[in-house]
Amino acid sequence: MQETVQPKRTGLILGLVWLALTIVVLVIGFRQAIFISPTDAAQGNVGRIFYWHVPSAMLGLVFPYVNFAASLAFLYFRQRNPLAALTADAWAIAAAEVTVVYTSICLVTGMLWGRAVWGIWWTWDARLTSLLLLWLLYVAYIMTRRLSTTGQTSTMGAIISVFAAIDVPLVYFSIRWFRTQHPSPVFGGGADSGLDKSMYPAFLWNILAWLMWGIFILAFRISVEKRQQREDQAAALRSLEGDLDNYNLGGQRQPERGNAI
Amino acid sequence: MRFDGMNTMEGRHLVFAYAAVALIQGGYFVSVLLNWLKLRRSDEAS
Repeated sequence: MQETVQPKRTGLILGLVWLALTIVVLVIGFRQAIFISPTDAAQGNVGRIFYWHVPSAMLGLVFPYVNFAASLAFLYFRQRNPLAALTADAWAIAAAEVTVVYTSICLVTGMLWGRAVWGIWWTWDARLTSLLLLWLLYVAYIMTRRLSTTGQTSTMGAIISVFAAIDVPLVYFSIRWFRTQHPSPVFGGGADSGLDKSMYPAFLWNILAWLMWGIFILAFRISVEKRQQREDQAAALRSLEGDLDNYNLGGQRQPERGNAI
Repeated sequence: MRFDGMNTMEGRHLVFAYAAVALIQGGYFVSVLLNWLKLRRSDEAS
């Protein structure tokens, strides 16, 4: 008993320490973005949305690959090692949900920023459309996982995640291939790209903060999913034992208790 | 930063963007936390 309780407690303590550190970094990031970083000369204060929009956009393109790698691992292990497949499946669903969270923030903050700076909430620009498609693919993935009742739900989800992963490079390269409404890349976008030196601390603190938060919420969600899997297995076992109890040794089914007169 | 309040679109949208970040991340965290608490209770009960 001691052996199973100890790792759980260690995980809980590690999680709480990580969460405390993350909150400290989030507060520093917020202070840097709102109070320390200089106001954008062209956009004014609304330009500070950058510090939440860009980290969310970058991380929204990282977590899909966690989902993709976990989905491939699930497909590989599902016949060979069911326990490893269950772990991979927990990683996949957690990463898909975290992806939806980050891409949702990117879309919402982008619309708020766009309305203030461009005068429009939305346009069917290559970057915006490909990101919306990515969001829709992951919402479809989660809906499939939640609503499908077949025994192949995880496999279907893993296949959807392969299609979703194909969209990620399209989102990334869309502003390099097509020059439409969305600004050109801030990093690695040519001679005119880049941030002013005074904006780097706020940007780096925020990307670190949201990365730490993403890792925390991903690990938390994985632990919940693994607990849910154990619960489901225990329920399935109880149901199987109940079924077996309904059969006598001769293989004849006895009347169920509720139907017995 | 000199904050102009909610009278300008600039100020409003900056506040809304921050509220959206807090709401989406916070909402997801709360939903995972509630699930964790529910499973923990049923774990202890069994």
